[in-house]
Amino acid sequence: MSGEAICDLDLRGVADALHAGKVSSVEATEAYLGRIERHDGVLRAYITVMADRALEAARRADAELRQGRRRGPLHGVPIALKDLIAVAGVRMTAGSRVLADHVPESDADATERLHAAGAVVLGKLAMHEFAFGRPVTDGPFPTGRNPWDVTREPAGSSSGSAVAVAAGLCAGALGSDTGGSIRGPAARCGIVGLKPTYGLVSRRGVVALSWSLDHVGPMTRGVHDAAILLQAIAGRDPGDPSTRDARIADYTAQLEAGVRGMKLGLLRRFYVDFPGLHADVKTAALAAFDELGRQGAAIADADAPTLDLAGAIWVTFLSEVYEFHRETLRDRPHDYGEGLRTRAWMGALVTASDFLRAQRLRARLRREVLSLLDRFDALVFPGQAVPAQRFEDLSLTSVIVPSSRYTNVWNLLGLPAVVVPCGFTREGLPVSIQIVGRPFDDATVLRIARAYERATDWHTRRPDASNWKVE
Amino acid sequence: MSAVTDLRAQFEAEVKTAGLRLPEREYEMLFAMWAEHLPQRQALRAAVPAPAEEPDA
Repeated sequence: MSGEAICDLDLRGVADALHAGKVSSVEATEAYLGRIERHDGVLRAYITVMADRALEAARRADAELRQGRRRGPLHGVPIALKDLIAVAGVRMTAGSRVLADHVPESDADATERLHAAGAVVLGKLAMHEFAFGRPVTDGPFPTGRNPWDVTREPAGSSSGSAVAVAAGLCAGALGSDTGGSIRGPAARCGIVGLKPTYGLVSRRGVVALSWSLDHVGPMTRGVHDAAILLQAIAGRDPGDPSTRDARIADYTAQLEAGVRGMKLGLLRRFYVDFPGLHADVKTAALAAFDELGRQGAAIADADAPTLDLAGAIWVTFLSEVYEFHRETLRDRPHDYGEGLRTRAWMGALVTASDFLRAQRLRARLRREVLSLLDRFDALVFPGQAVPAQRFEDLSLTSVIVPSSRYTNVWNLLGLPAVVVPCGFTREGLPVSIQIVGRPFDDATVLRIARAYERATDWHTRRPDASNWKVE
Repeated sequence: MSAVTDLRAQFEAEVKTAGLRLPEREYEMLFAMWAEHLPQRQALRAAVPAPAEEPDA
């Protein structure tokens, strides 16, 4: 199997090829390392490539396979991690000069679990500074380029994770999502991105942005891939109290069970009718919901009035960001990029009573949405407001961009949310739908996503590497 | 005072209360963000929960 053929596979394809003995872990790892070498100068997905460690891990994985020991579907599969998820002994920058020389002594819980599952970690992936900075084109940690059009951003903050997966620079990746940082880049790069239920995946060893909103999750080419990665990283961790009530399921068992008989609530007023929704995204998303209807799901409009206050409740985020960075911001302000630093100051202007008001309204919103989820198996809506933007068109001054309404609501509520590709704009840019489910019912959102995915071929399309050039 | 001047005075008071001392460029950027975000904060303060609505997040 050629290196290019390996890198064209999804994660499940790589896992199957390894299992069938068509390729070794070392060969797969070398294939990705070669592709990174050829293309990452343009795509900028990686901050750190761990070539020697990855090859060493691949050799161990192959040795175990020769001894008849296969740890599971991730055994020997090359994956990569957003550069805020710790790997012991490997520099972890969070995309910031503040942590430019930081080398964690311990693995993050997610890293430990991936190692235990036999995965090979290729490296650490680019991200917006501390998951809250702005896209940047210069400095030590430039934002990745969108493989579908390298003049455009891949969204963030898990920019490198999305770029690497979409471009075949790894078989799958982990990102983190505080207001859409998995789902936004996944949607704009044409891949699957899952923000699991809050408390399902440990945040231990992951650089915090906003404690009550941070989630770690998979970014992959296919839904099955996401289920495999979620299975590996989900679970209780004494080091992260938010996981104490985690309810684990078999995330692949019901993936192919379809949607016949399911009830899906379409959040039409808040999302489909939003004036900022790009016409091509709207058209593709509505066609996707029709497809789910053809498969036997009953789709009806749904609404929660307090959705209109989600942007106001978002002061929660500003407060938590400021609290985390407060001392460092004051002591070393110029180690932060201007985009993050200025926005972080906003949190200093949130009063205690504003913060508590937000928590009371957040609880109200949660009650309203959980009430909807008593009637519906899941909620559906377009995965994003707009496709990938040109770097020069991005707003650098907004503290919250209007399009974040498509994602940040679901961080406030901690519900599982997945984006899955549903087509392309007339300019050839990927677009997605989003599916949100009940707490710890991540298996159902994946099942719905898979039902749609298998009826289409969007997930099999690949960006053209011959276009990965810059002037 | 005009509405714009009122806004500016309100912002300056809040920055002072927060104890922030920023270079001029950042101060102006923060003012722009603060002003842009003001409708959200006004919406937050106008949405008065019932007495029984507790924070549970």
